[in-house]
Amino acid sequence: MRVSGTLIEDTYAEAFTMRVSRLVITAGSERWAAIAARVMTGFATSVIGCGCEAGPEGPAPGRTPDGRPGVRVLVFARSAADLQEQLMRRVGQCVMTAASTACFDDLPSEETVRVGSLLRFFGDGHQVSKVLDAALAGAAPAALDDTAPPRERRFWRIPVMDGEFVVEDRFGVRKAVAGGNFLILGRDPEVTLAAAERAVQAIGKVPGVILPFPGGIVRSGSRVGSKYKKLIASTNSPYCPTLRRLVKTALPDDAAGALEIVIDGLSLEDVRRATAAGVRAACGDGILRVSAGNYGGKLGKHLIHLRPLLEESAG
Amino acid sequence: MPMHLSLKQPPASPTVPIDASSLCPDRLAGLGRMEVERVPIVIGRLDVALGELFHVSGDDGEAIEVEGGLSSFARVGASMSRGRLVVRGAVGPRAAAGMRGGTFLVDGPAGDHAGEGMTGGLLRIRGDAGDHLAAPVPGAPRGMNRGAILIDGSAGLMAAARMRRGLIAVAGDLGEAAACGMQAGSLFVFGSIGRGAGALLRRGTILALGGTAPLPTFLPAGPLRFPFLEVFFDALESAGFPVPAPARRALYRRHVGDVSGGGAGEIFVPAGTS
Repeated sequence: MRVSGTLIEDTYAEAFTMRVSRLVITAGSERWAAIAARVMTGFATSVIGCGCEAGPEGPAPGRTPDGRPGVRVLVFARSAADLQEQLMRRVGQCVMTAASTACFDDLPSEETVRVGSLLRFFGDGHQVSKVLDAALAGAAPAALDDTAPPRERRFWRIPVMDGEFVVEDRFGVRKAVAGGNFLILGRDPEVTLAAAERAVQAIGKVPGVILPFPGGIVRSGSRVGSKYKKLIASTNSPYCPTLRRLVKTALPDDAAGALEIVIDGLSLEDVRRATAAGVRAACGDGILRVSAGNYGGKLGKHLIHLRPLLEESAG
Repeated sequence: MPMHLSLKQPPASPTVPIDASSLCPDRLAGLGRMEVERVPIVIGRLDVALGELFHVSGDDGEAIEVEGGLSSFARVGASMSRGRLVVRGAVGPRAAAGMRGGTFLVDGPAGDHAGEGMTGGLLRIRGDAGDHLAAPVPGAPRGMNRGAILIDGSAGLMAAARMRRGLIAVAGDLGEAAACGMQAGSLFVFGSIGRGAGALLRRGTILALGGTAPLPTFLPAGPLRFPFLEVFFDALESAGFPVPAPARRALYRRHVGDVSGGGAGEIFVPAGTS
């Protein structure tokens, strides 16, 4: 199968289940909402070394809970407990500290983790709790697109030096899909990077997904295992051009190397939609193949077969 | 099909109270028309069959619509916990007393003590409300404890006394001594509030868009914008309760008190627009 002249390998991406929270960060201006979102999702490329995977989700929300400009952020972690730890630290250190911001839950769910209820102590006793009663909370913007029953929503108002930092008491947690991916194999590094950037731009229009790596692109893709017992993952040697003669390579002779796009999403369908959009955008002149990373079905239960996906999305 | 009750003849001004607490989805849901007509309404010491006072049609008691002025009927919708009740006309005292859930719409004015001891649900009054809105049950340490009351008109004296949780929004004005002894919760008034608002306030939020004169035991700070107010304004508008544009644009001065009792409540009064 070829798309715009690029060969789509008959393979699949292997994604796995994680827990996700969705936040809306608002601020007095788009610029400050974006700054807070960028800082909060820094050093969150992979759960392997960062504790979570996070990134701003596009497109921007139409209407935020406090009516100010805002950015949606998705944070993925292995468990609800890990998610709580990461949210508490990141919202506390990166959002609360950013001028004029507030932070709201945007994923109504039965399962929740504490965030505002932990950060409130920064108020040193001057923090104020406000509760939006369930009789009205069901009509609030965050719940409009959801079928979850209305629940009481508690907000904490923590006094800070520019006024008040408003943060929701608890944030919803749901199962989600992380580790969706595809590999772009190009004739030269510049063309490969340009193709990856096209993919990132296309995926940026898909709601419900993030690309946690720098600029949405991974150059140090990994495979499970290592010759060193302490490591659970190591460099994806079959795709490293400098190891072409040393290990069994997956690169065709005329490929200069590969770049990977990793996709985390609220659901498998979101990841599939983003994969299709990204692959289609990446294909073109100078891109020899698109492949995907899998571990023989050992790592995750969500398999995304590239060819059927692209055939479906073309229909 | 929703149950429809139509008042046969407005009762002459009664010398004895009418307890209409059976006008409520909890009481009428699941009953056939004949059974509904036999449900008693207490007038003084007498039980009078509902069918003697109302024409009954429809069969779904989870949604009840009552046609007619019920200003002499007390306790309409009392202890309601589910469903939807609509009264096209006035209701008498203690409407929605002890309400725990569901939605109660009064398409007219309400008497005194509306929402007394309320612990949940949504009460919407499209006219004025009397005195003691959301009052505590006599002798109870706490007043309203969860739920929402939305008043399109004005309300009288002593509203939200000892309120513990929930939200009250009033489009018009509020009388004197509002939120006396309030323990928590929110009282948003888009008109003005009379003297003595928030006396003995422990916690909780009072907003007076049309102004009020805070007691000397409230300490002013600000002016500032408070983003959390927008969350509440949005929720009100999503529920169909209009929020005046000046409320959204306003900078507010925050008066903290009542410090005479160590309280940490707040009264927001506009201090200009940004």
